[in-house]
Order: sequence, then structure tokens, then C-alpha cells
Amino acid sequence: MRLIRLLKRDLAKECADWVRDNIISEDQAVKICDRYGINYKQASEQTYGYAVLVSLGYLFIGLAIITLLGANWEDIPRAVRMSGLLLLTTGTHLFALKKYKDGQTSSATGLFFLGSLFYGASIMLIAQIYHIDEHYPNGILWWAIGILPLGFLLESSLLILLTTTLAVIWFFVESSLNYFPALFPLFLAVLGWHVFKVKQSYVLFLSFVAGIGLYLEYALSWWMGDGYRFNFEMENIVFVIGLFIAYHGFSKWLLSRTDKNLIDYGTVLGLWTLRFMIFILLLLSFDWLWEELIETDWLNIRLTLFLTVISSIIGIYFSYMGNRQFHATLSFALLYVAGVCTVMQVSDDVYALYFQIVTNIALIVAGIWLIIKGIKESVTHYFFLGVLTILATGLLRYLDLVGDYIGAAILFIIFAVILLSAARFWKSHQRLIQNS
Amino acid sequence: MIFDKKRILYGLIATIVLQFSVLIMEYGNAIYPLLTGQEIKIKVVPVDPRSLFRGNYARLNYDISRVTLPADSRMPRVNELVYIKLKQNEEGIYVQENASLIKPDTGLFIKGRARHSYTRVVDVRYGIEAFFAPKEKALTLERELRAGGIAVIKLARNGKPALLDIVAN
Repeated sequence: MRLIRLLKRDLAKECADWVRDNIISEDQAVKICDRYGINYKQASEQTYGYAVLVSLGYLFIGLAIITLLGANWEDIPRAVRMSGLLLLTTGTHLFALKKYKDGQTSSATGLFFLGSLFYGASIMLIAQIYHIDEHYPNGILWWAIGILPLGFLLESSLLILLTTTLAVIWFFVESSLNYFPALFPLFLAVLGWHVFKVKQSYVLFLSFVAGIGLYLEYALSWWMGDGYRFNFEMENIVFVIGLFIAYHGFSKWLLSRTDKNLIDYGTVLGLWTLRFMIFILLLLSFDWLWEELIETDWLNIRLTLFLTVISSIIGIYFSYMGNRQFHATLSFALLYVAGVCTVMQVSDDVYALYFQIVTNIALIVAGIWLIIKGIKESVTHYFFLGVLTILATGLLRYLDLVGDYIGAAILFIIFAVILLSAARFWKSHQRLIQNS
Repeated sequence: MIFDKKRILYGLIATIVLQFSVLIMEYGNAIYPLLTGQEIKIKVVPVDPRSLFRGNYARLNYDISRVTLPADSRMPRVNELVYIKLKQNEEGIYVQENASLIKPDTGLFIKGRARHSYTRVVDVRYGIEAFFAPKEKALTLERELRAGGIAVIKLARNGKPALLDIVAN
């Protein structure tokens, strides 16, 4: 997993500079860029910055219209306001349609984006003009649904981003009012199609992955709330860890593909799942969370175990199919299943201390693994993530002692022994390599 | 592109029609009671203003926002339609006569959707709980209506209400 894949634009720019300074030929620059799935010619033209500025310009025009919401513009007769809104929305869209027909796809997309902002503003302003207060999340849903076909047909990341943002807002507003956002998978399906089949976008890919997780977590809560309210319990925390193990395995599978886009997605997903796992381990390094887990009155043990096992199997399966660092996913999954089963078996929260000690040692081991991986593969990100993990663990344990002062001191000694042993192993390993 | 240009063009036209239709349906839904409804007055008290998405407004709570279903009625599901039969009191204000999950055959009634229910006591929303106005006017309205007020609404024959005006007591 080379993180250079995530810095494509910078790489293209560097290549252009090297060509200008006669370090490499243009042909070589094209070949270097091609290795990372970058179109050198296109990247050098810097149309991206222009497109971003135009989109932001349109966004602010749209925001200016939406801000009119606060004014209520009561002096203008209702019929005039209503016709104005319809004309503004439809007129902008028709103008965009003409641009598209003339072959100016980029301008047309920008205008459709602007028209879509007017469309949303119109939905809200009509509700305002007629004092409508009927379940207002529906307004956001209709807004998102209205843009969805535009993003799909024009294969525009900008319009897909807009409809996804609205869908996510709708998701949270709808669920906050205790309604299940059942239509959310529709947006996920189009988003998934876009990121895998149309255009590469890390933001949209991560939104897709997060969206699936979000939907599954809320579906679990809805189920635990007997289908009429969201009931967030410890089961959700157990399940979210399982989800990330599944994603971790999936990232390994993506990395084994030949398609450059998929390899890039694998890189970015692997990075985020790793960060998340360290974050979860840091959370679990406190005894209170283990106490909560031990004392939890599980609503449905069978379901929790099923989700734990199925998410682990998915992770292991993808990692096995990808044939890349399979042992890492397998270790995570086994630790996860064993941890969940053990927590369910014990009932005395005195065991929280033991779980806490094991988690802290696991953090140090993970830190060492990341440092070694970083040095071996020359990836500084892993190296610093490993150092950060060890330092964060030390700091957290200094602020929040394990047991009493004596217990904390013993743990620090154990940390030191592990770290020094790892260093010694590393030195002898390096010597062996040099001798051979 | 998975479609040819002609199909995309048709798709884009269909989407513009979809967006236009959504706005027209919203408009039609809003003006239907205003065009066909009977004007009635009901008691109202404001709660609190401002919405990020929808501008400034005074949130309204009606006498009929909480109703009691008959003893033989089942508990409504969330979002289920609730019908409230109305009668005029001696002051000319319309008040609740009875509430039911079954649409009344005769008489004047208003329909809303169940929000929460505690046994047979149900919180109902009618879609007229917001009165949009510029910020200053919304705040003034709130002050004026602290002791209560009257909402003037138009009520369509199918029970759908539309808010016309709010006046202080």
C-alpha cells in the first residue's frame, strides 16, 4: 500500500516541473503518471481548479437565494413569488439543457447544479409562503431525489456530492424525528455506481463506505427499538468494530485488483480502517468501557454473536481472496470474536481490569508492528502512526492509571520491556539481513 | 457514458419535468384548502421560532394538538391519520367534539397525523404548526400571543387544513 497514490495531483505537478527543468522527458512523465492512473496531459492543464471555483461561485449564488428565506419577502404577492420560483428553477434548467445540447457538458453541469439549488430553495419557499409544516424532512428528501437523476445521467461528481449531502442531512433529520430513512439505500446505490463505474473520488468513496455503515447501524438500532424508535445500545459498538474488520478485509481485496482506481480505494480504506482500529483500542484502554460492556444486559445475544461472526467472516473472506496480509485481518477478527464471546461470558466487572491490561498491551504491540511495517516498507505514515499510538497509550495511562500507582508503574515497565525487546529483535534482524 | 446523448437528453428533460411536478404538487397541496375550504377559527399558543432550513417562523400549538381517543379505540401507529370532529362553541371558536382513527361520514372534521401516543392520549400534527414571518414579526407575534390567540384556517372537505392568519386575543 503506497500512500503516494493519494497524492496524484501533487505527483502530476512534480512531473510537470521535472519536465520543465529537463530532468525527465515528457514521455517519461506520462509513463510515471500512468503508473499511478493519472492522465498527465489533463492534470497539467489544471482544469480542476477552474471547475472548483465555478462550482463554488454557483454555490454562493444558490446560498444567496436560500438566504432570502430569512427575509420572507412578504410585500410581494404570493402568486408573483410562486411564479418567480418556478421560472427561476425551470429557466435555469432549460438553459442548462440547451448548453448540454450544444455539447457544452461542463457548463451545463454547472448550470444544473445552480438550478438544483434553486429547486431546493423553491421547495422551502413554497412551504414558507403557504405556512406548510407537514413533516419537513420530506422537503429535503424531494430535493435530493430531484437531483439524483441529474447526477446519474451527467455522471457528475459535483451533482452526486450535492444529492449525497442532502440525503445524509435527510437521513439524520428523519431519524431524529423517529422515522426510519428507508429510502437511503437508493442514494447509496447511485453513489456506489458512480464511484466504482464512473469516476474516482476519495470523498465520495469514503461517503459510500460510511453511508453503508451508518445505514446498517441505524437499521440495527431500529430493530432493537421494535421498529418504532431508535434504540442505541452496546450492540451498536460491538457491531461497528465488526464493520471495520469487514472493511479492512475489503480494503485488502481492493488492493489486489488490477484496476488502478480500486487499488487507490483499497489504499484509502485500509488507511482509515487502521486509524479507526487504533482509535477503538484507545477507547477500550479505559476500564469504564469494559465495565459497561460486562454489565450490559444484551438485548439479543444470538443476533450480536451472529453479527460479530458474519462481519468477521466477510473481512476474512475478502482478505483471503485478496491474498494480501491475510494474517493481519485474521488476527483482528479472531481477537474481536474472542473478545466479544469472553465479555458475554463474564458477569463480574472486576474482570474489566484484565481486559484493560490486555488492550493496553495490544496497543503497544500494534504500535511496534506499525513502526516496523513503516520502516520495512518505507512508509512514514505507518511509522508515525505507530509512534503516536505508543505515545498516546503512555500518556493516557499516565493520566488515567491502571488500578493504582503500583499497577500503572508495573504496566509502564511491561511497555518498556516490550519496546526494548522489539528494538533488540529489530537490530538482530537487520544484522541478519546485512550478513546474508 | 452508459447512455447515448439522445437518451441522456430525454432523461434530463424527464428530470426537469419531475422537479417541476414536485413544485406544482407542493403548490397544489398548499392551495387546495385555500380554494375549496371553509374558514374556521381555533385556539392557538406559540411555542418557539427559527428553523435553519425554513427561515423564521413562530411554532404553534393548538388546543386540538393533543386529543383523547374513545375508550374502545386502539392506539394509533406513529404517522397514522387521526380525524378530529369539530364543533363551534358560543364564542364562535371551533373545538374538539371527538377524535377517531376512522374518517367521519358527516360534519366538519380536521385530519392530522399521530406523533406520539400515551395510551389513548395522542399528540397530533396537522401541518399548520408553523407561521412563517420575518424575524422581527415572528418575535412580536410570539410576545403578543403569549396569552393565547386565534388561528384562522381554511378547512377542506377532506379535513386538510391551511393556515391563513394568526390574531391575538
